[in-house]
Amino acid sequence: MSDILRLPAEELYKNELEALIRNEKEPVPSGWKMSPKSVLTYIMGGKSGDTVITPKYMGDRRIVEICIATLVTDRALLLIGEPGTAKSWLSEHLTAAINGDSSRAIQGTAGTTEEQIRYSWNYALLLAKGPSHEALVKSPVYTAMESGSIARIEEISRCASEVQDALISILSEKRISVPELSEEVPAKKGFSVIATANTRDKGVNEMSSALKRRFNIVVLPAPADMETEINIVNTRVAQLSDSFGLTAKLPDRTAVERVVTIFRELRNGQTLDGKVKLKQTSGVLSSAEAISLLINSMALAGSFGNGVISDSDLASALQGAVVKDDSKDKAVWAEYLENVMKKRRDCAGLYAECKERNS
Amino acid sequence: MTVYYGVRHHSPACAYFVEEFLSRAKPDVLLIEGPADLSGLIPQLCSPEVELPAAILAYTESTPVHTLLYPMAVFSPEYAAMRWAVRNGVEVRFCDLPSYCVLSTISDKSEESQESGSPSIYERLESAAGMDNSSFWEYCFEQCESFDDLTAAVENYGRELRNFSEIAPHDLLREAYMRRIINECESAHPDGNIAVITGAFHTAGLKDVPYTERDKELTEHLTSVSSKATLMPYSYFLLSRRSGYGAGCKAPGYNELLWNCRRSGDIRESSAEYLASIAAYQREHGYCCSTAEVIEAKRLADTLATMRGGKLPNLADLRDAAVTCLGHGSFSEISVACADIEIGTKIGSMPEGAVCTSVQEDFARQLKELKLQKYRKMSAEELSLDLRENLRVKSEKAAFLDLERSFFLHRLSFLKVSFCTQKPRPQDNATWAELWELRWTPQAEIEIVEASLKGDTIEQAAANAVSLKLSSADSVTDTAELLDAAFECGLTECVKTAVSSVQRQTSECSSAAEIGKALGTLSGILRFGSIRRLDAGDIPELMEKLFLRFCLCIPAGISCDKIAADQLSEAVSAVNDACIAHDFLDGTRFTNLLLDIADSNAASPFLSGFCCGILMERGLISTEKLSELISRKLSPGFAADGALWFEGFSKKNRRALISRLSVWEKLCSFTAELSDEDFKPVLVCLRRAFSEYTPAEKSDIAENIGEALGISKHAAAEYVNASLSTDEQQSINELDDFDFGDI
Repeated sequence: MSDILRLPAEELYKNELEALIRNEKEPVPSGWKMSPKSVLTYIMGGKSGDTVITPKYMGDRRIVEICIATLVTDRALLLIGEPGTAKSWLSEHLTAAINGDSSRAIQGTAGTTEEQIRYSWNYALLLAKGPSHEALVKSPVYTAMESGSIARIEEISRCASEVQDALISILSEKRISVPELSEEVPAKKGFSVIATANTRDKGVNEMSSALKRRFNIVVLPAPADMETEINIVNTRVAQLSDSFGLTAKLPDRTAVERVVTIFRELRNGQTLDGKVKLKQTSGVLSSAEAISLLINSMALAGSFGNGVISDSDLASALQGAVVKDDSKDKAVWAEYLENVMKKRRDCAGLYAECKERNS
Repeated sequence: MTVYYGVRHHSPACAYFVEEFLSRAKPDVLLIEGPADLSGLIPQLCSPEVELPAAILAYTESTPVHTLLYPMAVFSPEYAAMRWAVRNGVEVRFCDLPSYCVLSTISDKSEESQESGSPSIYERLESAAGMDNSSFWEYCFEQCESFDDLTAAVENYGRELRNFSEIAPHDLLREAYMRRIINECESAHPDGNIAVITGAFHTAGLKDVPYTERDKELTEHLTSVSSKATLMPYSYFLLSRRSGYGAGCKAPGYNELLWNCRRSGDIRESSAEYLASIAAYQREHGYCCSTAEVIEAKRLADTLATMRGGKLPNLADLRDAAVTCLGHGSFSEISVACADIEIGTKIGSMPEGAVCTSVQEDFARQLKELKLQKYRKMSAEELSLDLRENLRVKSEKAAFLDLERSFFLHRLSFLKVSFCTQKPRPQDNATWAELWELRWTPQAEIEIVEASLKGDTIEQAAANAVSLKLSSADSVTDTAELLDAAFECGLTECVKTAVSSVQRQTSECSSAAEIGKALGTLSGILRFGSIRRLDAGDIPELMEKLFLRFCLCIPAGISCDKIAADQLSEAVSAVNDACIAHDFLDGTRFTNLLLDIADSNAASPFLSGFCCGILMERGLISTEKLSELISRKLSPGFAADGALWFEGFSKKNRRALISRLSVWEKLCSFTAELSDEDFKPVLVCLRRAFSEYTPAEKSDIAENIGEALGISKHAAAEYVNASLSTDEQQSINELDDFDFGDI
């Protein structure tokens, strides 16, 4: 096991990427490491020669096809969705497969400046020697243009509007100008941008329509059905617990099913059978949260319990995940417990634990 | 020589190459998959006055009606072939099982479910191809550039389909029949050419399997039911919904677009055409949609098609590209445009005389006579009628045009023909006005055809339908409502039968609630019926009988629960209205009856209060008696009863109640003496009672109560309008969980 907390996708799935490149039969677009079809196989899973490719994204194949086709046409790609719908995950894996390098990423925050999108200077060198190539500090977008690869911009809507606007010229002209050196750097073939944005976040800067027009927009949905979501949660929990070296046993199917059921019901505002209407919580309760919840309870069980996730571990983790905005969520959770969970016979233990914690 | 051409129904490519096939084959006889007994409809269908889409509709002559539809559009290969044959003077016939035989099998299996449990061949094909059936078809066949490519591919496809699936017995029978017809044609034209156009699935079965005696045996004695057939206009919308003919057609609008592109020479234009149409639609409806976006969408669609192994984008690719580039990622933004382009709103039309059932003809004739023809279209339009005599016109017919229209529309809606829906009256008391919404759909046409089973004209059909219902109506209320319907439909004969059924049923009925409601309905007919120029005849007499029956029946039912009391109070109210409106009813008797109920301690408190309310409203009760009743009914110790009584009491006459200060004083002292526990049910009932009052009325009540409690107007208003404290809010919230129990 590696001692790095989180390996980038291209390291983690090195074998798969190599196998796909080795067995490539289709034409490869310039600047790409493999053909669009192989990228699709890498993301959706399948087989390449003898190597089994694990699925990275579980969901609608068409969506991934649209994403890849967008990048083939040198258009920029904007992934939109609720928190936890695998936007960043998908963008990381797309760049890992297309360029073999997912590291050219900018994290959008309220403090991101235009320099971080374009370029900045090593001021010591700048003062000492004046503007020169050595003094230039290139942004990930800059290097991506130079090398003809894909840059990632995470949470683009958290950046201030003027920073977002810096992208407009880059995306339409496909070149970056450095007036200090009286130079213009044209993008090589293969350059593109994948940006992600949240639909549920508060305090974001709405993207201008000028910028939106330069992107092909793909909306990532929450998992369509229970089975897919259970599958996603199971796979990721196993992967994560492996890389964290957790000692507890993996959660059994009923535990996962219960968590996913609770999350789906609260997210959709009704029970799975559609018979009871429910209030929704302030949080989104995404599959990503379900995963971290289960990892959390595994850690609890491993460190302080007997190594098997008990109702009590699950209840603690659920309490933390569901009740975010104290007064309102607490009432919603209490109502859910009384109206839905109490009536499910097999959940009696979990119900009692949850109730105790929510009181 | 016999040559075969396999098609997919509603495939523009197959339709486009039909001509090439036929001009190469030079047939003397053309056989097309379709009900053999309905070949006679072909010339009519191909006449230039018929605008497609249209359908051949076969239907059984007895109930339950089963129908069989063969819809055709301009891009249907069968239609293209028929047009060719008619144009070139070639004999053309249908060769599939006759419609009467198919209809008889439908009636047989209507009990069991139509589809079997195992996945259909198409589902299996979809999982094998990794895309849905229509996408697969579009990539592999629809985009073929030449006749030879297409025929080879389709033939192969049909053969493979057969290898993969078990052929249903019904299909075997159909193929045996088709082989037999082909064989008959071959013997009739030993030297001639015969062309056979069927679904690709059957082509292999006809071509590869020789005709044997067994085929003849199989098809010698076909089951049959008596049936009829007609042509009818159809719509793209229905075509996209129903798949009565072969595989159906999910996107007729898109298919027409493909067909037009084929005909103008280049199928490759279709993707740009589709995307540009969506963009144009969006712009027309106020969305911003630039040409640059259309170009990007086209590029994306092309790339998607290449990734999925197609030469040109198919509908799914185009739709995905449109969502991504024109809809900015969300389908909802372009969903209306997609529906408009992919499905379309086109409907066909038939020349007069092409329709075959007498009811259809009657419908068309009446539309013309009543000047309603312009409503025969897909978009809904309102029509308001004034049933009164129009004094400004010359002929009597014109003077009562709107009344005749009303009869006609009422008849149609009684027959459940969805052509018209009656809307609530624009004015409350204008009994001479009616508001209708008219909208013609192919569905309505089918319903009209179904109505033909009930009679030869719409009037006759409606009359028969009313009589049929009358014979099965078993309560006096239902019968009275049918009487009302007969009245509205202007069916004089039915009115008479309905009156006698009401008469008969009255003596058997002992439910006061039903009799009361029936009486209300009859009273309505009598009061407003004159506008319909129908003879009321025996109705007053009948009402007297009902009234008497009501007075006799009600005392037995007055001690009842709240639900029954609600129904009874409605009936009492209806009878009260009737008494006020008609002098011939014995008013004194009714007043005494009300007094009895109001005075009774055994009666349901709600009903008793309600009767008391009516008496007060009409001033039929003395002040002393009223105050006696109020004090008695609001006695301490009967909290829930008192509150229910008040609820009934306050139901009727708000102004009269509000103006009586003494009532409010009584109510105040009643509530003041309640224990905390008793207060809750009372509060619930009172809240319910006052919930229907307007804010102005409520504030008057508050003033009254204020006065009763000795508080000044202003202080009362201030107190009532002040916002609730947390404690108060909480105690009100607790009432949400109140257990109503018997209340």
